Amino acid sequence: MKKRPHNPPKFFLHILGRLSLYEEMFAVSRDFEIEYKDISENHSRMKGFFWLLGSTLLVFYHYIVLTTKWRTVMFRNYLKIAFRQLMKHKGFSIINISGLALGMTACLLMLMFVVNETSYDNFHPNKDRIFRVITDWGKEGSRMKFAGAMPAIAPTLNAEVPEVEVAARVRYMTKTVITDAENQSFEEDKAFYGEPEIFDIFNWSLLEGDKSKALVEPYSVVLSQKIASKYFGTNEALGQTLTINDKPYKISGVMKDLPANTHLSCEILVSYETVMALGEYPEKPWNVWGDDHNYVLLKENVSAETLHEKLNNLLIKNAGDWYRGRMDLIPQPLSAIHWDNESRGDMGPKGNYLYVYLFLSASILVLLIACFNFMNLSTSRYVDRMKEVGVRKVVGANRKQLIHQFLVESTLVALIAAAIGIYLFIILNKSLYALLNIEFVIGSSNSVYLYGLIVLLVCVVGLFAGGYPAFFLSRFRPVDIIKSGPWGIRNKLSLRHALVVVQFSISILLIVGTLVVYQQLSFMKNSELGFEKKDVLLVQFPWGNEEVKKKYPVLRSEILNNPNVMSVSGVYTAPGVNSQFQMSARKVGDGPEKTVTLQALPGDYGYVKTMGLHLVKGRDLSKDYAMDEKESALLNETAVKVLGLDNPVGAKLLIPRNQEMVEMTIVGVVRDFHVQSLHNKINPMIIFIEPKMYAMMAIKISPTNTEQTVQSLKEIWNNVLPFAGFNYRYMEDAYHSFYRTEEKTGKLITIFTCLALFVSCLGLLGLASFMTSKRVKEIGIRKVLGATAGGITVLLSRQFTKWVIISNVFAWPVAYYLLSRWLENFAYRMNLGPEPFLVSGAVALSIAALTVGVQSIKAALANPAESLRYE
Amino acid sequence: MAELTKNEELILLSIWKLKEDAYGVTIRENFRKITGKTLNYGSLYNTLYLLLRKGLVVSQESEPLSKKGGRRKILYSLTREGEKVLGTVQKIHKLAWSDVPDLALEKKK
Repeated sequence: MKKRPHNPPKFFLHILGRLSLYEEMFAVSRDFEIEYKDISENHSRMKGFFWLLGSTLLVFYHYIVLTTKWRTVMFRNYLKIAFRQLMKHKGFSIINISGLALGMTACLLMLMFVVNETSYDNFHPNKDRIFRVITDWGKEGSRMKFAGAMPAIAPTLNAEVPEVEVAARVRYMTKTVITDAENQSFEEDKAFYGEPEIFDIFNWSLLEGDKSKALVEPYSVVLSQKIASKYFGTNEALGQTLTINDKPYKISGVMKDLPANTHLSCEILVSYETVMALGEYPEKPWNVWGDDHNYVLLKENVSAETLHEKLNNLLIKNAGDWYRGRMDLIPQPLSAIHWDNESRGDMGPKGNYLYVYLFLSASILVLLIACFNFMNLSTSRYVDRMKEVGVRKVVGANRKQLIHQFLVESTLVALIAAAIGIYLFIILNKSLYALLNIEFVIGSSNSVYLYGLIVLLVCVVGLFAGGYPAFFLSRFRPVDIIKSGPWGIRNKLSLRHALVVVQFSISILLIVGTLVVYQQLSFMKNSELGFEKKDVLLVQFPWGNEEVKKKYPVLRSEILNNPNVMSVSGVYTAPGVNSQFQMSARKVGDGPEKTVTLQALPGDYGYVKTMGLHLVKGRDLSKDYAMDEKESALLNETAVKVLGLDNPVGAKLLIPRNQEMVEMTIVGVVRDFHVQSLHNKINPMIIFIEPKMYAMMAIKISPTNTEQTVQSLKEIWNNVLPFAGFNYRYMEDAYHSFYRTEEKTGKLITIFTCLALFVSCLGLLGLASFMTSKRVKEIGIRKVLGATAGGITVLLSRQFTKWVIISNVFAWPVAYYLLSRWLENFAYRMNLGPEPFLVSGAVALSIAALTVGVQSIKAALANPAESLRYE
Repeated sequence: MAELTKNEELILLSIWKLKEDAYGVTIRENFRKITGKTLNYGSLYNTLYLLLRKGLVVSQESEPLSKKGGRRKILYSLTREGEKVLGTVQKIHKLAWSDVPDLALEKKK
């Protein structure tokens, strides 16, 4: 029998060869190979194998022990040197570390905003298969999207469409007042009606109660922990009764609090059966839409397109052929909901990709500035340490070791900076996000990201910022350094100048951004809106209360009796209020295909006066004309244009009112006014009297003694409507709340601009002080030869001034491009003129001049005898 | 003259004995034959390294083995200096032990 050759496993030999210090000299692995063969031929293959394994492990162990030992020794030396360097140049270290720390803080703050925004609704395990059915309604040119769809959709999907795993309806409770045991009322705003299937779609977990039974009975309610503990404290909430809108509800479950990053932040979930029990379920559930949010969980591997098609087939089948082409039911992916700024009647805070990108790029820019700063300062510092590098090389350090050394140093600084930065971040994030009114989810599902980010940040900064100086320094030949000193290689340092230019370009970019954001904000706040926003109070009516409608005329005349009230009107919506009411209208005599969607503004006789609208043609609605109560309406200029009316006054329109088409006469035209924010174009609008739709009272008061007036109004209100609270706000504030995002952005960008500018200046300061210290002797000689202090200051500052001016050249086109893109968000926007650019250039230049100037003057005023004494 | 440790001496001797066939494995085997103890590879290579540095031993790569894929091994041989030192050691040993009876045998009795 022929024996198979005993070849040892190559793998072990490879390890042995790699790890042995003597491989090159003695071919160690070869010896082991022969020995292995001997053993396995004389004894057994098994024994040979174990012998080889044992030897390998042993070698491995010794290798680890030895290298760790020596590495530690060297590492300790690096650390020691690094600390000595830090201590030796304290001012310099402070500039360096604080710059980096501030940069990191700013970067973290912005990145967390980005993470927060992009993490919406990502905690549902089936998130990729969840869709919401939204509606797209109207004719070409006046289409509108609604977040809610028909209430019949979900049950039909469950019954008839096999591709749908489960579907459920959720309906927002517009007004929720909870009365507690002590008979105190609280208004809650995160209450919904929901079907039991909702638990199968979303990752909502019940702590108490049964998922399948909790929402079956009418008048049963599931509370979040937060609400449960608010009303029941530590007592068991399950099984208790809670009074909501004056009706008793049985608590059938307690739900875990939802994270803040969801569009559907539900704290009170009432069974959907309650809608039927309250008689609010429509008779024709296929022909009413807007209130019900239909969520669908698709089966695996079913495309949204399939659902889209089936939905619209169902719509035509059940709602009628009239809907064909007029309505489109669209399945909207869960992940898209947070970014949907278009659909009306939507819930939850909305995100804007523009701002996410803005912050992402700003955070990267600020970090870049900080890194450049660090690189710049470190490199300039390292020039002083050339001799150290030379000596290390002569003594035997190889390039790898030198790189290690400088990487250790830079990582150490990065770590210290990160520690400070994270500390600042922790102090600042709560207050900053509170200031900006961002609901923040740190500490929930996002904390993992946070830690990851921090680690990544330190690594990136350590490697990126430390890498350049490390490679830069270790490159030099020791002979050059020791022989000629650092001056022999001075010209190679021009990258630092480039870095300064980049830093300042970024700073200028940010300054221009800040200026333009604020200009646009003030443009929006001060531009002619077409109505008087000042001194108008909006007082909310309690919702759905029949009593209010009866008492309205009394309330109205009582309020008008107050001498300080100029006019008053019940309204459905007002500028600054997000709810909208649309209706389709057409001219009498036109076919139905010419129908136009108008934004309806139900009001009262005082509407035009209260809002301060300007009548362009015709007359105001007035009590003097009997027809005005039912048959007259006002249009705005856009509506006149859209309807194509040549003679608007006296024209007749067909408008649906109380489920039938009614003929209405146009008695006047008002000038266009901005009910919505300046992001949006003005809609065609129609104003008419409709007391059924009043949601609030708009009261125009005289600008003097407002506090007294408000007080007396409150008394009147409480007399007439004792059951309703006097919840008022100024229309001006409400309107300005449209610009909250812009205001937030403005505030944030200001903070970060200051930071960036500050960090850039730190860098410039460090660089300037270094450069002047290098030129001390030159300055001394110049002074001895007769140069004036002023001349020397100019000499030293000139270079930096040049860089800042170059930075402007780079920054302006980029800023112009980005800002024009941003301004495209607004239908009405400011003119982007040269002012913000020039101002930002001047600001950057003066700050830089100030920073460098102080250094230069100090150097220029020094006594030349001091600097020249030792040579 | 260079001082030798016991290990150095025995390894030097092994290389001399093995002539053309002196490489790691055979040296170690020879050492075991003489002393009855295994020399671990660490000590072997360290000692060889010292001997190389002292110039008593030179190393050279062997011809590749005839087998396909066979690798070279490192062979060692004594330098003139090495041979001289080994000779001196032998002389010292002979002189030192010349009038001593065989201790190991006596003990066994």
